[in-house]
Amino acid sequence: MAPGADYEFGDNYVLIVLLLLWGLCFCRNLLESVGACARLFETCVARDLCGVAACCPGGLAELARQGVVLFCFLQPAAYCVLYVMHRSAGGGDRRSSTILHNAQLNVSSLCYFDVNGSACASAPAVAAVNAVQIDFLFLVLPFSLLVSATSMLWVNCVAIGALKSDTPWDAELEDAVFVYETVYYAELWFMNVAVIAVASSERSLLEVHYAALALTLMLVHVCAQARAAAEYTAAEHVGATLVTLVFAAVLAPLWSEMVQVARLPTLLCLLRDARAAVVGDGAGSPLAHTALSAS
Amino acid sequence: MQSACPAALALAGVHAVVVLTLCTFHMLARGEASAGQVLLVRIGCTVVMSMALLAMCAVGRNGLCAPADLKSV
Repeated sequence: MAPGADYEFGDNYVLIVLLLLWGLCFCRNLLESVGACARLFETCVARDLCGVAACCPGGLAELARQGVVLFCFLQPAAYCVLYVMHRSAGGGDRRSSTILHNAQLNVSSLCYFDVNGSACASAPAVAAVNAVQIDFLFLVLPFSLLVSATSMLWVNCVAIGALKSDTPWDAELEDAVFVYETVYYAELWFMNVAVIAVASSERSLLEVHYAALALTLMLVHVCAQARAAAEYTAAEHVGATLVTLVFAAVLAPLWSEMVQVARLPTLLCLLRDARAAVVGDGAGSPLAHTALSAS
Repeated sequence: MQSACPAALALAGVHAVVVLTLCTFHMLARGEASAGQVLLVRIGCTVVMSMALLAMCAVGRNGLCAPADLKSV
């Protein structure tokens, strides 16, 4: 991680996102979905919008399904629209970003029993704080792009008949469904990274990484187990108990410690310790953006 | 000095609900769920989480959560 780096979302990234969406537009199922929506709206217009349920060939359920598909698919575009709106609107800070850091201990200040206990009284414990500010869109756009991809995949699975509403969710599912499963697991990982990084701003980069990884592994395990046989063996009972305990061990510190609540004093003390150790750190520079190094 | 970020709290709360819903459903429906049920729960959770993130982006996290104390250190 480069010290003091800022990653701000720029116009060129909007172009990349739109190009990705344009590429996805060539998927046959998307075109079919758009075509179905167009036919739906045509029917609605022909009936002067009299009764939403009546103008939808499949009823409200089909209408809701089309709406969910469109919502999922157009998420990256929605974020880009919000980005453009925030840039064009003046007044107030409407941007979103998260600050992660990588604090390094001043190891010479540490005390070992019966070795250097008398010489470790006043030295600062923190030698360097490398903070990085990341734009919210960098974290959330991979998640939204994967949401688009998974929505297209399950629409495809339904279209080719690999998935029906009454298909048993077990190990006999077709290969196309396992592709959807794999992409869905990636979506879960990006979701956890985005949410934990944003909700736990000002925490360590490694903390966020390991918390997201642990939570994703637990979710993937549980989701994969859903396809197993309904009857538990004795060994599976033990495994399920262990997984539940690990799950609680992962979630408890995540939600009790990492969320940005009443932790500022700790962070401020950390940064003040680091600042005290700095010589010529450039007074007046915003600490959240600045790498502090001990002389 | 004490400060809380309501947006981060709300997002973490929605995330907790989504994660627990996913886990509970998949554990209880093991071997007995249909594809329709699984997709309904998964897509529902995805939509809820997406709407929470979109709301966070629309409101603007920095204005709500930026620690003013930090700027004066």
